[in-house]
Amino acid sequence: MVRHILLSDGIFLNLLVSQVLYPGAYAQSSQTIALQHSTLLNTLPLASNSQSKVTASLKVGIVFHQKESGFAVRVDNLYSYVDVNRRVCVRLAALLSHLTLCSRFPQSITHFLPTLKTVPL
Amino acid sequence: MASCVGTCTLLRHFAHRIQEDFVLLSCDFISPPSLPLSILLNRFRADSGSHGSIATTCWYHTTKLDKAASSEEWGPAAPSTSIVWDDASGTLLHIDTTNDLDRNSDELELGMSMLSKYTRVRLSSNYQDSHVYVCRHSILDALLEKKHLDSFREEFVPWLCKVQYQEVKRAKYGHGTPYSSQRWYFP
Repeated sequence: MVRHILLSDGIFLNLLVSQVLYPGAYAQSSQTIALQHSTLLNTLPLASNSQSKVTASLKVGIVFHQKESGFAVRVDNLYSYVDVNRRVCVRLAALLSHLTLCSRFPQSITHFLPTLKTVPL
Repeated sequence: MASCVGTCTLLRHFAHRIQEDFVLLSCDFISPPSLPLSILLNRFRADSGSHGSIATTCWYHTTKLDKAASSEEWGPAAPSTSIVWDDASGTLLHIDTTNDLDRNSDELELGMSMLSKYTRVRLSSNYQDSHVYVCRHSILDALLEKKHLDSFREEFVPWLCKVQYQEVKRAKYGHGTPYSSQRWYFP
């Protein structure tokens, strides 16, 4: 809308300058030129309010997480719940077996280890 | 509210309390340290600035179930979801929902308007929806208009994917975004 006003002012200014510089040549055709400009403006997209805006693409972006980048899961059913449980047990068993190798670790903790190893997976 | 109320209904109920863009996520998604939320937020910021993105979602690669871990008493495992996306622009184009499967379980139905706009797309059933969405605030306007939709993942997002390449719907819902209101067309 702003550009429409600026464009109209520009044409108006142009007509004034032309009349001042070339009064003889412009006298007969000023109305015709003005009419041409006005019809030209009607063909510009800015003349229509419905076309003045660009519609957004409404894109739905997507980010992929690959298996190699780390384990990700949504725990929303029994299968995924068991899968997560199994992975936690395996990690815990590995961690505890590593700790038992350390002499400073109290031996009383290791009684959990057989239990974890016999968890049905 | 009843326990079977879907995410769309909840969002419509609390729409007046959401003033800006928002993140929608479930409490049952376990992600590794290599997948922080900032990855999605950065993608959303980049896309919303340059392409007028309305939402960004995350899909993760599924792992095959161990046969020993499955039990027949639990019934069949959830079917995999087929999705279609444009790799070049990172745009999700189609989600084959359970309703689509019920309608036609033998074939994957894709709209011609999508294929004419995105000529090279990728199809896979190896990914699952993490139900983590970064959403533009204007998504609530569409939700308020589509009152019959209840599930965000099963109904609303698949519908939203189709809006991108359907001119009439895009014109209807695209003007409400800040992206469109700040730009003017100059020939």
